[in-house]
Amino acid sequence: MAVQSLKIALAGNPNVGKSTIFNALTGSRQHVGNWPGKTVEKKEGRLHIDGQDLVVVDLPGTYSLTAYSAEEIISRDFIINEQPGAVVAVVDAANLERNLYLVTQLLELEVPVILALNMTDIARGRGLTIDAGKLSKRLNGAPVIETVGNSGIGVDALKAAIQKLAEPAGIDTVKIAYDDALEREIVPLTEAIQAIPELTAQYRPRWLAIKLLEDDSDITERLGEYTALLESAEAAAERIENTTGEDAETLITDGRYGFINAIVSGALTRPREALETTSDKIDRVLTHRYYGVPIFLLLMWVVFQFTANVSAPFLDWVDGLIGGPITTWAGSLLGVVGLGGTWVEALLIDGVIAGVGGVLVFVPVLMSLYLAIGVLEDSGYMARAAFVMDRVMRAMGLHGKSFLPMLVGFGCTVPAVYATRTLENEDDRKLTGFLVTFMSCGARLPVYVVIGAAFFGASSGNLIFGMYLLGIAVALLTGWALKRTVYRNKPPQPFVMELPPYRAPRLRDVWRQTWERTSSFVRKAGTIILASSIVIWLLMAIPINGNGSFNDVAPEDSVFGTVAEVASPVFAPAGFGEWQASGSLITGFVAKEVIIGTMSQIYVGAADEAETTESTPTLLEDLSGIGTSFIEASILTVQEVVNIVPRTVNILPGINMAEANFLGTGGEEDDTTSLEAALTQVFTPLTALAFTVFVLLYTPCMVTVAAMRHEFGTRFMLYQIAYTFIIAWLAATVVYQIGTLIGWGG
Amino acid sequence: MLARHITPPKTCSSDCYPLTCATRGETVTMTEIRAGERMRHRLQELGLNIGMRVRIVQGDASGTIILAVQNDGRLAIGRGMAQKIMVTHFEGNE
Repeated sequence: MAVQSLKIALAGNPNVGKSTIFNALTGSRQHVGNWPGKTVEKKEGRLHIDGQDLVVVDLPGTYSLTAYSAEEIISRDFIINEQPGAVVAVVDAANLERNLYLVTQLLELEVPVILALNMTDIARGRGLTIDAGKLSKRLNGAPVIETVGNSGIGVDALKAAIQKLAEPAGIDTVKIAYDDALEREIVPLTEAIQAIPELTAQYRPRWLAIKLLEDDSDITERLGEYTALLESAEAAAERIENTTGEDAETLITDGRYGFINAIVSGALTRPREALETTSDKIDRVLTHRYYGVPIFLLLMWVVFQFTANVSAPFLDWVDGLIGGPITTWAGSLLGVVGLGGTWVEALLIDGVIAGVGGVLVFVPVLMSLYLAIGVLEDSGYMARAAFVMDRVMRAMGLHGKSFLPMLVGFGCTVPAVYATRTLENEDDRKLTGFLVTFMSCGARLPVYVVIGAAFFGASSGNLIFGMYLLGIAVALLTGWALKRTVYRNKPPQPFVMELPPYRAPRLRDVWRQTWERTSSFVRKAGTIILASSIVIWLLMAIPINGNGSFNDVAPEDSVFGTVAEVASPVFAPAGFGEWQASGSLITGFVAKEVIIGTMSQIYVGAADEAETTESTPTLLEDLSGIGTSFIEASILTVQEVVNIVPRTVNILPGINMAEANFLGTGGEEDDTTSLEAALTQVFTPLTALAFTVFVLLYTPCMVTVAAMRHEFGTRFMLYQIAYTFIIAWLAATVVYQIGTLIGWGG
Repeated sequence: MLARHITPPKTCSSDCYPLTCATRGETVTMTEIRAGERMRHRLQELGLNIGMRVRIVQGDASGTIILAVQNDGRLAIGRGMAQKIMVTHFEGNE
């Protein structure tokens, strides 16, 4: 094997703390959660041991290495093609037998295996004792290391074991012996494979023989040209079935479990089990047949209350910071270098600060959302959400597991598209991929927040919650319709899912994940949104109609205004046929955050002459103002957290619990931002609502579209683009027309 | 592609019933999985194999069932699937 940087693979079942071990080994910050199926693509990190440079690859969590899901094929192809120096099999010590099933398949691939018995603290807490030495001996001396990933216990021992294995010592992996009837066929088949050099160059012969007997669809496809071999495998499988009355696949599985039992017996002792664990007791309430769905909805409601209201004071603070001091500082700085009043100032202030700043304002909102979702994930509730929603999903002909990618979609649609890989059935996967775009992603949230604050005041939390519900409803209805047309006659795959035990959310993990997701949003603001802000500013500065000149043109006469004007009649039936609205929707295809950025540029950038700062405050005043307003924002945030309780209680009719008011102010009075003020001039509450509905449902951003194409192909992507646009247009039009008819909000 | 076989149901004595008929808290032994090869295999990988004992942690006539598998793992399993898993009552303690 080549002596370049050696590869080490991490393999394991979903939710065994693999990502935590990966982080502990490589020091990188990977998203760690408490629900199955987070790691959908393999991730790489680096590990240095004594000057040796190793690449650690985190494979997707799988239960097995069959050809039943894309993730499993990714994992085993990696092991076959990349020939890692060792595979660290991370197993949940509290669930040893089932976790070892994957290990048996790793052993069959004949790679050196290191067993990391993870979460030994939990196992010990349950009274299990595991004799690591005995296990190791039975695995032909494969290292068995007890670890507690999140507190770093055993990580050094693991590193030492990796280093030792990385030296080519010729490890003799233990062989799994099968039933005689099987072995009688495995041996000649292995010999037949050994006679084909092209196959032995790539595969381990015995492994291939077993896969052929298992009738592994991926392998039989790849070996399609070796008809003689495939035929003899088929004949062998038939002989096995005739002599034993069982099919070969079942016998092989039995053989693996038999091997596991032999390894574990005497090495693992467990106490007499408590009949009902705390998790079970919690589940009896949270997954109850009747209360389950309402509790889920209630939790989601609290999440969006938290997102909308708790972050609002900070949103105003950041907005004031960007619109006030930062803008004036930038202006005076440019004045000092002699660029005041030039197009450079316009580009920086109306383009960059209004565009990027308009998006950065929402950092507190997203942070709150990610924090809330992180807590739910880490506690173990998210897996239950899929369980609870299974019945609802099934009524629509969907799979309960489809709900997990959909939940991921609340954060960002791109990982949601990849998260569909956890579904085993290709049709279920495509169908789910089609639906995830309707789950309102974090980038669409700013639109609801701005419009909610401008038009719906204190009930903006309800607007946001309503949008999320509408997204779910449209997704479910679409699924229902597709299941009866395109995917007809394809019964949904049965639902089987592992439920991790509940645990108190670990602040460090929740924070790390919140931070990672938020910072990717900020990074986007620095790249894609910055670029599009500049492009939009340029397009708005170049005149095409009338007699303006560069940087001195009425927005509607600019290139941007003209193009938007041409597109705008399309949206007239939905009530927002102004060029400003269509213009920001067009730019929203780049990234949904840009919608608000563009609006800031159009409305605020153009209107700021009108409200020039009364008296320019000094730097010192600015700084102290920032400080005091931050403290004020913190107090208001605490107040809003407290107020979630009365607001939640107040959902019940007939109860009116008072809300806290710490600062003694009237609340929402003068905290409308300049964009919100500008919007009230252009939109009515009804058109604003129709616009919001359109933003929720319309064509996803280009990054998502690219992910769709990557995962499902060009045709699928085109259908998706067309469908989402039409649905969004229809829904917005229906809202506007019905609203007009009943005379609301006009 | 090779032909897929569904093993004919093995003989099941009269005290054999689908998992959906088991009651909460009951421990049962799995005797048969009346499903296609693919699904049966999936269940086996998750630790639901013939001869294995599972306990019904949660479950009712209308919904998904939660099973305790190999003592510590908890599996949620859809009703459609549970209907196809035949079990017998297991007396005694683990």
